Amino acid sequence: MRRRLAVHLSVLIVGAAVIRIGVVPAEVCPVVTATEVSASIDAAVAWLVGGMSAEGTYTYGYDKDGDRINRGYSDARHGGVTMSLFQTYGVTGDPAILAAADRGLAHALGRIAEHDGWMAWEPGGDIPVGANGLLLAALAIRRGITSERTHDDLMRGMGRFLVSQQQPDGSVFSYWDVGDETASPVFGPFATGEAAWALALLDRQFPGEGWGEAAARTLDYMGNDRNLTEGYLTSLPDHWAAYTVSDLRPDLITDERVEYARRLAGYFGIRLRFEAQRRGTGINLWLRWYPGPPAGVGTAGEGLGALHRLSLQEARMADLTPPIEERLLCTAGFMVERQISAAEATGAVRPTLEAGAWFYRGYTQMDDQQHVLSTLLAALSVLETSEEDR
Amino acid sequence: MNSLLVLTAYLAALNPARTRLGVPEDETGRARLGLLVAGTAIGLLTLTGLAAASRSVLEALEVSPETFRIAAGFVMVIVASWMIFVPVPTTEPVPAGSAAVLWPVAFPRVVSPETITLALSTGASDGLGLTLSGLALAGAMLIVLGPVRVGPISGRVMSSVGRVAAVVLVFIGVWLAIQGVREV
Repeated sequence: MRRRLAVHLSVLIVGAAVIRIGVVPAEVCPVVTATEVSASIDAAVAWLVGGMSAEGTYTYGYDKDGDRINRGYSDARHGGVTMSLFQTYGVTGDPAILAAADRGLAHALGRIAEHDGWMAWEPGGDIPVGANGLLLAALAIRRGITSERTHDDLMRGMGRFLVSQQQPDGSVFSYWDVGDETASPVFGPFATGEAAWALALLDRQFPGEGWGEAAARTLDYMGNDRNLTEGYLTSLPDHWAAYTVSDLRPDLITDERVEYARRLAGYFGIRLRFEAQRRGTGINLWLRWYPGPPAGVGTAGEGLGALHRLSLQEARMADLTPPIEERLLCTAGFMVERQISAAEATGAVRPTLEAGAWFYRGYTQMDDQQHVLSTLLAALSVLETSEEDR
Repeated sequence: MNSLLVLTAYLAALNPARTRLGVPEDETGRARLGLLVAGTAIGLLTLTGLAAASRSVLEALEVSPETFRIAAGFVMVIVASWMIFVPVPTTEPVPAGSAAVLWPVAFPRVVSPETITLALSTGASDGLGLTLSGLALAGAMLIVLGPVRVGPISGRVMSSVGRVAAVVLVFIGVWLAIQGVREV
């Protein structure tokens, strides 16, 4: 009998160990305070702003192991970083951040093309929808915070460009061919969501002009047909779609769109739970690999941050507020811990390109800081509210 | 999980028809009722305790209830697959006296990997009330089957029903794992 009991107990114990190590390793969520998150935000902003050139561009990437600065550039990421700086200004009210974001904006505004009634940023070559979407989002956020109307004509012109790229089914062609003067029939993985979000924000600034309806059309496309049409095997966990549904006018938030928002929350949730399990050492490294690329973690975090705003306003999402807050705070906890501190950067070859950054296997890029920054801004609002309540 | 699914999950995980085949019997082929009732009660109390403490247990393990659903789903699929291929539990040696209440009735027949993980999962995610209902229903079914004499035909029927319950458990396990992935 003892032998049989030992067999059963062994199966139980070994089985539990296998499940623990292989399926549910600990999700480590270091506790953080609002002060610590604010400091982390400041450090990330310092990395972005400290690396700006006289032309208003940002440092693109840095490999600390080889001490190599990546001289490449991405216009979409330029728009994204500029947008996130305006988001940060909206939370901190720091005029130095507004000034920096305006420098980033000026870099793009120096190259505006006009055609057939629309306006768009033409960074060189064909005109990218994604970069224009993020630049328009940046302008809309800026207008929402500062109430300045300086760029109103440009914003409407850019809105018309995005709508001109939109197809009847809501899909969005991601480039305008400068040579052929037509929309190129190609899709980008993120340009669609970037355009939709920009249109949703534009609708908030200029209500009654139809921008929200255009945003909703693309949102529905992203939630329904995109995977099949654009050949994705699985649903794309699109944080820009999360921003879009969160910033959509309340009367446009239908049950179907709420359902899409809930699905998105699920994608981001599992991504961040999985990330919290990553240690990057020992057997965990073999089972979970290295802690993920910061931009990837950040997109999931900021997507949840956007959906958190929606869950606070929308009764059909209210039940998701507690788990979303839990994930946001957990993400803030491990990302603050993973950020290179000023002390850690002391003695580095280029301390200013290390301090405040998040690296993935020795390399960091401007969008790593951008997306995590947006995540931390969302987490900060949760932390401040909970600390006020206490 | 909705109420119906939780109840079904407990019926499938405890699998009264299959479990009954592994309970010590008297010379007439019926379960030793005293052992069955006492063992089931102890097993259910243990599972209730786990369900009641599930939040604290998962917190101590640093596992979110949503992620634990994935683990519970894995365990159920593995155990249920075993049940499909081995529809009658191994006959365990039975100790003399009341010790047989604990072994082999309470453990491993009632308290088993699939019921432990299910109790932890539903206790943390679906509430203690629903978990208790599921446990009570499945336990009652097991006790109801106690007086049934296991003969060649009834034994075959019970093992077939147990197999069907195992197939249901596979589906529930897959569903739980998918839910664990889809939840925030």
